Amino acid sequence: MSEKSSNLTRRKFMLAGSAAMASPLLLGAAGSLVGAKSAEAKMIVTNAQKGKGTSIYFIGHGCVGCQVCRTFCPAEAIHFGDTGNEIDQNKCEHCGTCYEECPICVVSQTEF
Amino acid sequence: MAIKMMDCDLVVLGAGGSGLVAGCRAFDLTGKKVVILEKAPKPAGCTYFASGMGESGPIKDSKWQKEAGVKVNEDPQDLSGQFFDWLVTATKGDAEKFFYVTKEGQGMFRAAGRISFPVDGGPNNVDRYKKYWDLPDQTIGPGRMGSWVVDHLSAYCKKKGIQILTSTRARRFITDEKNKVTAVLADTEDGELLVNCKACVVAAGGWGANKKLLRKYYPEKYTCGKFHSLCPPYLTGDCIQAAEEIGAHIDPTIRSLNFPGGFFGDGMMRHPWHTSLLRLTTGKCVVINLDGKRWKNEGSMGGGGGTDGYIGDQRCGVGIAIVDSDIVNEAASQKGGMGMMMPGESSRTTMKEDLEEEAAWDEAGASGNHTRKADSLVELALKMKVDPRALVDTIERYNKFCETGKDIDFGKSAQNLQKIQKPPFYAIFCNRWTQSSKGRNGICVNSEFQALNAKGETLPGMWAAGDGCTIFGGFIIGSQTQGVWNEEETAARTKLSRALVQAAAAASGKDTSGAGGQGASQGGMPPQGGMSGGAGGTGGAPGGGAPGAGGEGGRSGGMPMMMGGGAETNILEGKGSPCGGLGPAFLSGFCAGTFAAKYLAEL
Repeated sequence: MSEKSSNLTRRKFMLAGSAAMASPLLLGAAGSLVGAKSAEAKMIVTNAQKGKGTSIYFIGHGCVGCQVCRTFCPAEAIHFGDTGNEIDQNKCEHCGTCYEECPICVVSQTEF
Repeated sequence: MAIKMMDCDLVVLGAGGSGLVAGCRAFDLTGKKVVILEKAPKPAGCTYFASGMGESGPIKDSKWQKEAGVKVNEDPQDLSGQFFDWLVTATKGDAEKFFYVTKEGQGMFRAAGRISFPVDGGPNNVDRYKKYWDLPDQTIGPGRMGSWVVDHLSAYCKKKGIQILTSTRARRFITDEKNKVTAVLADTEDGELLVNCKACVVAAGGWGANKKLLRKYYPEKYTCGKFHSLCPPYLTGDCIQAAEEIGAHIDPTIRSLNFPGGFFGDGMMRHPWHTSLLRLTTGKCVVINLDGKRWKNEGSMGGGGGTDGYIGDQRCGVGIAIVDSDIVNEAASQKGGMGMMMPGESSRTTMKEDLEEEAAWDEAGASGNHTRKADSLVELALKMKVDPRALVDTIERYNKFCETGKDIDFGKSAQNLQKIQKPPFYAIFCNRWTQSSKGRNGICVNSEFQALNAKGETLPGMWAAGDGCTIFGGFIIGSQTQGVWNEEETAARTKLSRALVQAAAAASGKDTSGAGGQGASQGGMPPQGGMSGGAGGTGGAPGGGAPGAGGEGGRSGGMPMMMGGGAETNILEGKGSPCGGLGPAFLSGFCAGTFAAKYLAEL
């Protein structure tokens, strides 16, 4: 629990002061994942438990589409989405490569 | 929460290109305690994506060039050469693997005698270092000179004990009664941090990702509709605002002509110069607005900026690129280098699949402006909510131009005129984009990069560098003509170069005649690597600017950009480069670091 809250603080912090960014959106998405109420979220959690790690990764706002994550992703789970790269949660192996490699740190990590 | 405190001699805000250079340079000269604050979780900044020296012109007067037999000027050594020699020394042992001096006929867009990168081969525009070799898109992503410098200077910081505090956002400057900066208040993950300092260098970048400021400063360009940002999301201008609070003058002058304002597609085609979209758009496609009309020569779509046909002038800031199957197949089947881009295989060969997949999203009812696909123009027009009559008229008119080989509306060249006739047709939506702010509305600085207030007085103990200062002012770090200066500018640059040598000598307490670390071995001429695509080099004047500049200066500016495609590249026509490039960032950081070091040494 403590880990989770520290992560949320970190994201909040990263977004603090940037009026330009859609922070409520990002935090909202994180909130619904953390809640793990929907069937989809449950599925993601199950996948995460099967995989290498227990964290869930998603690409937040601000992605510039440089494709580093897509190139390095061992599971080939990342593709171009509407506004940037997106992680396919069904394919994701939760290894954290994208989180570590993203040059501008827009990949978010949420612990469960 | 208690406020944590720490002390240092120099605090640098921002661990991007200019910040790292400034911090490392100041440490190198004085050995004083330097702390670098970075808002993002790792050092990178815009610099990480940039490739070439850009508007500052190429590196001149470096020792490498001297050893390679290029004519150099030694008194004074140009500041770019000073910077480069210092960089090579600081990152000892690795530069030889990355940089080299171009020889005659080597490198398509590089004049002989230029410092180029990297040595280990490949066509010019795929020149990343090994780790990022496989990135599918040649127009964006890390791995070039910017990344190299950031990575190596970060390593240098680690080795020398220069602290880089990441995830630390500087919020306020604390000043004493004389308005001298004595501390910086920052937010960290666990509370506030007060960094006491004797001097500070603000190198925290511009506000390219701050949509509020974009709308404020460019109301006529960012009125409605969405826009893509090429900036890392951290570039919100925090430190500029903080500096303004303590009296720094924010210079509203727009010096660089073109505010970045090309456009690119949404979805999978969203990439700025995604080679496939570029190929489609520069060469053969037809770009229409929401009224179904063409508004510009598609051949110049690459940048467009403020020169012609800015997309923001169109309704809702939306452009739609129309292509037919012939064009898609043709683009997807091409092999090898195409024009200036030389894209990798992957992004082109998958283009058709990408288009199909995105069109399928649209069929499935996804929201957003995804690519539309239809078997007739009328159907296509209805799908993209454009008047079908207008679209058909436009295409018919265009097809007539193709027959006669003359575009009387917008003057597109004959080689790029190809009929839009074979179904299925695709419509790719495009929106405007923005990138780093390149010194506009940044902190006003004098020729020693000290921050100024509105009266033109210096703010004691405060320097500014990089995107967040007015580097494109009269200080000859950047030039709108890619490194070609007039007499007055040359004199100013010479003066600055000389002042830098003196400042460095004063700061280090040694009589060095140039950049720090004269004695270090340069490792001789770097190996020459397998440069394959070299025939017919431009062979411009050694160390000179203009002729070969399009290649590496062309796409940088904090972000890779502005590569026109094919023969019809006219985005630079008579207007100077629309991009900033690494040079202004590095050189301003280098100057600020040196002058700040001198100040510290003299305290």
